[in-house]
Amino acid sequence: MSSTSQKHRDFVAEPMGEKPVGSLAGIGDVLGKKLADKGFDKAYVVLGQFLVLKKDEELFREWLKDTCGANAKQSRDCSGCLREWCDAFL
Amino acid sequence: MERYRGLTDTELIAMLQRYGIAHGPVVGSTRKLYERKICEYESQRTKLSSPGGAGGYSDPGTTETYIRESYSYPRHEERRRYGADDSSPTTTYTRELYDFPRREGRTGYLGDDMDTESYEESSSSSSSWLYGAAPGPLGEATARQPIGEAASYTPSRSEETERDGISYQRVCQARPAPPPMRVEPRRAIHPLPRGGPGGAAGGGSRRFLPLWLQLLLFGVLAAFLVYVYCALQGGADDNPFALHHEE
Repeated sequence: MSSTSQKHRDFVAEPMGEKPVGSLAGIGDVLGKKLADKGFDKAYVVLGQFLVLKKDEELFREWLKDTCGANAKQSRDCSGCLREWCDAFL
Repeated sequence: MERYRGLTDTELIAMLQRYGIAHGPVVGSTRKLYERKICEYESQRTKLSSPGGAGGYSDPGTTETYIRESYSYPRHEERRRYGADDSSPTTTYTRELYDFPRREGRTGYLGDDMDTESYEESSSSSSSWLYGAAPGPLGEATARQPIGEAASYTPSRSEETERDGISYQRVCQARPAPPPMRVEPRRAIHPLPRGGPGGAAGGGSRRFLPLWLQLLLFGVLAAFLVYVYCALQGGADDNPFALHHEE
């Protein structure tokens, strides 16, 4: 539990609804803006991409790196966050 | 990687399935990722098989020529044996490796076994790896029919292929495979002690011998030392070896 950030815990605690993409763990202002420019303005759109990749975290991390230039830690945080959310709510 | 751009989504999916790579739908955002995955898989595969088969490729610096040359090598063998004209290097290559289990059952079929002998050793390690990674196509002999070799294959052969393939698959699945898709849980190198060998009587700590046995051995050792001491003391006046030397 202590290895996850507050942002992660907040995100995983409830259904994401219309939360913006910046609410995902690992996605800050800079990455959030880059993703929004590409059309991924809401968290559920990024979730959609994660699901289309059949919840393959490694592929998702690659995609994230290609799309917004996330580094290893950021992409790891984001994929972990989405995976846990899916485990809880999907 | 550019060679995959021309493929349709369906063809790309067919390739992914043939290699046994787990994949999702190929849509706009995922296409590039899967192209890259196929590329990595093929370069990995050629790297693994070529060290034995193609002798002198020590440094795969120029991957382009390296891959091309590795592909031409199995194609030669393939043509000589089957006489089939198949242009796609990947399919002939995989078929080459599929031959491996079949050889065990039907040695009479292939024209020159000499060639397969040398190639077999090189592909044995990679074929097991390949089978570990691609269980799907192995069991389906029918998948090869559309490639255009239906004439040279008899129905009984395909059945035997399936049988050999499946038995080989079972054997191979017993061995953990290196490709990243399939990750098997690692077993601990040191299995956890189940109460210690021989049973630990004292306080749950691990002992090689039980406590009572250890004390017994200690007593025996002490008694032996006492005996030796007495024997020495007894022979203090005389030669200590008098007991043993009776001349």
